[in-house]
Amino acid sequence: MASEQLVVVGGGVAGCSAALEAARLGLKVTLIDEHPQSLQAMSLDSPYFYGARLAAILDDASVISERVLGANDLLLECLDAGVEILTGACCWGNFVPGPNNVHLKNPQLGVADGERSWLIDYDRLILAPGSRDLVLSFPGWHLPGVLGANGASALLARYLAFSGSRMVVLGSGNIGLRTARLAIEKGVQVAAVVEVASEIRGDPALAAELSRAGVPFLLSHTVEQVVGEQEVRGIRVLQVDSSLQPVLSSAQEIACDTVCMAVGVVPNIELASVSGCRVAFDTTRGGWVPEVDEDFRTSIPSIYVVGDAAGTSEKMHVDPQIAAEQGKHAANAVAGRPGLSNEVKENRIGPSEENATLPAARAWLTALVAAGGMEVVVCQCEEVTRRELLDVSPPKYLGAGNMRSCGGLKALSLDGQSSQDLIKRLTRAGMGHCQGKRCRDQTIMLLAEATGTDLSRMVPGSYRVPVRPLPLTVMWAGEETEETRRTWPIWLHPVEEGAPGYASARAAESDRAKR
Amino acid sequence: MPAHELRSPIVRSADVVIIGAGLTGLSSGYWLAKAGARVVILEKGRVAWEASGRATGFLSLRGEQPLEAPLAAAAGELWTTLDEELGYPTEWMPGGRLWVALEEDRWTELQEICPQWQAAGIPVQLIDTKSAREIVPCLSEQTLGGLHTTRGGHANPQRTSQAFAWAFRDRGGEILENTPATGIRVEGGRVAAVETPTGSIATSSVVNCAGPQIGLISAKVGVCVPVAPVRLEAMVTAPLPKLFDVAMVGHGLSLRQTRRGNIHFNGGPHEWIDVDLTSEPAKPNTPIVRNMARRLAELLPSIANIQALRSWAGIVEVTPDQSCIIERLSSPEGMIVASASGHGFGLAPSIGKAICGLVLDGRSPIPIDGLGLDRFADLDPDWRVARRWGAGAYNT
Repeated sequence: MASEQLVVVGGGVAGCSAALEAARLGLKVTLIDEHPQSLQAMSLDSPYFYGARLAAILDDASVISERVLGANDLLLECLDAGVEILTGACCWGNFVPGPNNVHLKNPQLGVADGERSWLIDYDRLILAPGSRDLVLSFPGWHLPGVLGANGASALLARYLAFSGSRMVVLGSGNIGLRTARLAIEKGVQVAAVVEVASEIRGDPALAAELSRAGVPFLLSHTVEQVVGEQEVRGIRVLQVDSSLQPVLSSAQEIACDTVCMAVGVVPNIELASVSGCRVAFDTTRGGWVPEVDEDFRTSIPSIYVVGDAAGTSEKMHVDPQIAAEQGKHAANAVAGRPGLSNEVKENRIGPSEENATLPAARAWLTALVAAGGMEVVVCQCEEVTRRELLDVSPPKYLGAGNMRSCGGLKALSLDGQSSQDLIKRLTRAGMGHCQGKRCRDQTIMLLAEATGTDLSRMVPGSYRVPVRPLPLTVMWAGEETEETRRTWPIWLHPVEEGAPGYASARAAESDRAKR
Repeated sequence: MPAHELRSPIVRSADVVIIGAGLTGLSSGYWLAKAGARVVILEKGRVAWEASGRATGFLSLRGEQPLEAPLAAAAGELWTTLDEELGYPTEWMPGGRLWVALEEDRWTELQEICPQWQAAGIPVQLIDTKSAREIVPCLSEQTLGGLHTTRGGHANPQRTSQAFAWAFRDRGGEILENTPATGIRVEGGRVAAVETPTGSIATSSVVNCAGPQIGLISAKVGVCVPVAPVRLEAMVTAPLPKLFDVAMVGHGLSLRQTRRGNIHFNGGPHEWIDVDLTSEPAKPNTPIVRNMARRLAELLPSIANIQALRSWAGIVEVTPDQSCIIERLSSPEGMIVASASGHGFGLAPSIGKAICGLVLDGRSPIPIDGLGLDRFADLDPDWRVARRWGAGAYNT
């Protein structure tokens, strides 16, 4: 194995642990991390929901590079261990030989930095791209100052470029509590943690720590709207009753400049998905995740997935050791060595408890819809509202208001109703420049709810290459060969004289010309 | 993956059973249902989930070949009022079409084609670089010239397919998804029923427009419909302000700017494949998407910084001479076969009308001479291999 090339995607705990272990075992390892991202990439809310208030310093590549790399001790350890490291490089595609792609001889990973793209050959691949923010909408969610927990954490702890000073956190699961604690550590005041459930969802000790630090918890509350014209100036929240309906007289406004959506995170499965790895719905792992065996190997034998991308859990949000063990385990499996003992596996590996993200998100969504109504935009890129989504309305720019209504979701076949891709084609929700990262999850949940379909029976929208929006000039094949240029088809090649069928077609043509 | 459920056909008989809910089948079904026929469309997967939902979305130049010119002219007419006809938007953009050349040999080709098309009555003209760049201001300065027609335009394939599907439903038609046709029963030389895994549907008329599967289904009744399936790739950029209306071919790409503003483009090396009757074929993208991105950036340099958002692949079937096949078979009686050879999007409205006429009156209202199977009577059974179009062949 030593001569084989292992590529690890993701410089978080899982990815770095995998790379370190693999290097220790003598493998030739390359680790690719997309951080530090360029300001342009961040402004597309990819992969995290960074929101529309990105600090100007993020445009200073050298300062940011120093900060982000300096904040990642594990990555520096990898460097010391001889791992080849590519930072500021995103993996936007993975091309695997297979059915209807037999001309491709070896798997190739598509990588790009801010300037160019290239392809990397590999023998084994460990994907550790982490998670993205689960984003739900409410009036004002487009304003600068609204962002997601992963986006906020990256800005606070890695980019050191968080520009708010007073934050309201939505969600009291461990992801919310963790983000609130980090904000306080970084000198940001946490004005409140708002939770739609009637009790705190996350770790009691962590919640108590926040309470001691003076953070108020508003339980059984939802968001009415963000206050502010140009940017967040506050948030109006409402109490909800036991059926999650808002109590209108209960409105209160909390002054803040930041609203952090921390309802949950979603495994980043796009690379595994475009690779062709089998993906299945698994509530214990937080939704749609690649199917993996006990060694974290996917349905494609050369590809492994570890960390949040293989499934998240409440425990993992506060215990990075779980992701670390997963990474090490996969590295051992790649090296062909026996993995960890069963005991370690049971205790450490994988989410063992029921993942609470989806039920929590569902409760939040119910309360947000009850409080905000149907005219709230779900897809910011394409400006599609909840109502337009469920009515399967054609996009506004078509001016098709005078045409026939299709009859909404019920006018689609049962398969159509459960297909996020079909609704996306017709309404454009998810078609925009964030590639659906801000609306994908709430869209599919709204559709499931509206059609009375269990989420597990829905068919999520497909992922497409490039899994990051890439300028043509970056994606472009700089090393294009003369052969490729010369043989580029003018579709299709003209029918050549003498080709089968040619003579008869010509004869028919001239027959008609004569008539 | 979708939870494929086999559902029993609700209907046990129909005037017409159409195999394949792609655009050809949907259009045929629409015109037939509008004329009062009881029509069922069988679809092995989902409505317009293969080529019809993945096409670039414009009226192909190949439809302007003399052989198909009557269908193309009729389609052009139908497109102008299609939204009103169906009641749902197709995003039709009657912006004409433009072929541009960035290289000398391409320019020579266009100059040769022009008089041939003009002789066939197609209103095209050669234009110089300046005129081409007036039509498409972001076009490369390397452009040597173009061939332009105000005829035709482009539309959104997904919206168009769904518009036909809804309009078909509005007129009483029924589509059975996840219901492949697995056999055709023939009695006394006539089709009698179409078999599916969940039962058969009695009918006296079958339209086989199953795209890449057309040959496999025809073989069930001993008829050879020669087609070769091929996998192609396509991409789309983020939206841009409105730049051009025209549907364009140039630098090895076919492209259009959608009503939303995205540039939708396809082209490049392709892989010949095999399909089967019931499963969804794999449609992987390949590293060639990088070369496609480069081609678009070279063709439209002033927008070269726009992001590519998505790529996908699609499968079309190609006939040996790349022209449509449309025929009402004499044996078995009651069966019609139709393939648009991978360029059916623009022609779909008129191909559907032709098929409607073939079913109801035994003749097409639009001339389809020369599009029958007899032109392949002497075809070598190994034609795909001879042509290097066999499964696994790449870019041949």
